[in-house]
Amino acid sequence: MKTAFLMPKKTIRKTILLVDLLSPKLLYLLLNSGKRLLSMVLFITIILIKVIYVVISQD
Amino acid sequence: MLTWLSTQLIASLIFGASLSLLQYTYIKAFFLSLDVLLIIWGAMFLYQVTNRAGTIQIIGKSLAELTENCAFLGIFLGWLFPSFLQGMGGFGIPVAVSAPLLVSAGFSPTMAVVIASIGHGWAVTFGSMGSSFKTLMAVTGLSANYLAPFTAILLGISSLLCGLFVIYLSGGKKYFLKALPLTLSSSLVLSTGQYLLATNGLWVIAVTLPAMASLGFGFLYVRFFSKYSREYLQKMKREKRIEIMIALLPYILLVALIIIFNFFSPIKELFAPYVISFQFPQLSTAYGFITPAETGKKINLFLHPGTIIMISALLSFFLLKKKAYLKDDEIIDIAKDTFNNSMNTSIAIFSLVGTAVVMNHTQMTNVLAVGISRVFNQEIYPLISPFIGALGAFITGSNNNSNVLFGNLQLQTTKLLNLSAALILAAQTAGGALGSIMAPAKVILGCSTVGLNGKEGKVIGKLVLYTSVLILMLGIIVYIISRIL
Repeated sequence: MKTAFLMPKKTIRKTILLVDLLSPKLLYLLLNSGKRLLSMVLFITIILIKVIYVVISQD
Repeated sequence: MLTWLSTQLIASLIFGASLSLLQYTYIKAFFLSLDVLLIIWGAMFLYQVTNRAGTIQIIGKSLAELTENCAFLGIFLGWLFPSFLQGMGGFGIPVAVSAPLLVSAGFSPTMAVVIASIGHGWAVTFGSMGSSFKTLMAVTGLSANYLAPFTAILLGISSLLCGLFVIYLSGGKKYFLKALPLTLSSSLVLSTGQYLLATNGLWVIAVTLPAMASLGFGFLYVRFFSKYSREYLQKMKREKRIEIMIALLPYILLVALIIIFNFFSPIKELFAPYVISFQFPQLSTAYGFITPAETGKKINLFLHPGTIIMISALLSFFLLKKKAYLKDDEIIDIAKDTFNNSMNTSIAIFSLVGTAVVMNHTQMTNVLAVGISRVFNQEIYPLISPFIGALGAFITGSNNNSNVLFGNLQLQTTKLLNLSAALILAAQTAGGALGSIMAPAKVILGCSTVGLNGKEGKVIGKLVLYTSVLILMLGIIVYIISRIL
């Protein structure tokens, strides 16, 4: 199944899994080094990626 | 995923969660998920190795040829074999593998799916290398020593109930009494083995090993009590016996490695320092709900059950390759299949654990628990608790996800109603195990393997009926135990 962005569903799922596996560690490092603004930007980006995932994959 | 996003929104708009709190819960959820996913990835890898080598099919076909009695076939192919498959890796595999074998043995496709589904239900919590039990420990923060006894008792009773349902459905009244001695004795092997392993820290193999033992016991039983089986075994060629032994090799290896890693002190001491854990600060909502500072989930990458399963899968690959069951380049295909087949489960677990952690940190779980404690009193709640677990499994498709969603809710409710948390959480996970039998996600997969596409509704209808009776029986047992305590 092709999405509006011409990305196969499997690729989108791989991207989401990669986000889930890598972003928490990065977020922890940013929070602990006091870079709160950067951590907020990262977290909002994660949420936006997930919103896009829900919209295009209907999961 | 949508659930995770909505929970984030509700947590910040209604329950006063700050962005910082949401960030930390996201990180905490990652470690809780990883703890469970390592086991799931390992179990899936082992399954892919054995499936590609064809060893699962060898074991299944040998069992199908062993007897001609329909109730005994039900016991072997619809109860013990799917339970064994559930022990090493669930995800609908037990039904998907056993149902076609039952059909080839003469059962109707509908009954094949129904029998295999009911037969493996009791094994779900300690199945998939104990991943659902691990989840229950992770979300409640309680130890295996505390949770295992009641969980093993309730699931042990469930194993007998599932076995009785299987022989009734496969042999009818005519063969029920004839198959009863084997059912009772197999159930004794399953439940005693499960209890002893689970309460001694070996919950990872608390289904796999007893299921192997009960298959061996069943084999000996028909060897002595069935003329057909005796003649079949006498005619069996030496090559076939060796083939069956090789097919069992991965599982024997797994059991041996788990025992070595758990009981051989020098190995434990050598790898003990390699622990990953993060420190989390105190978190509070705008309404003053505080979660104290804590060390997050500790994960030892070398001693983790998932790593041990992964090592046994790799060793099995090399052994099976040496015996010409697998080729060199197949490891890449196995890795690809493992990744593709566990991708959806992984995303779902990350999302559901994330949802549960946010709920726990923002008082949502407490609010729900207070509501439940007002509706049900201390006397009636034990009867209801398995149904809550079953509902979670029916909705989410797995015992594991049910424990993520409702584990902590049940724990909070037991505190408010002054009930034994060990008993109610055991009821939660046992209910979840039995409830997962009728989960549409599993049934659809099972139906697709026996040509029942489009007729899933009929199968689900039958399963809902039988499973509801099973869960009601479980609820009554929990109720009786709660009155004794």
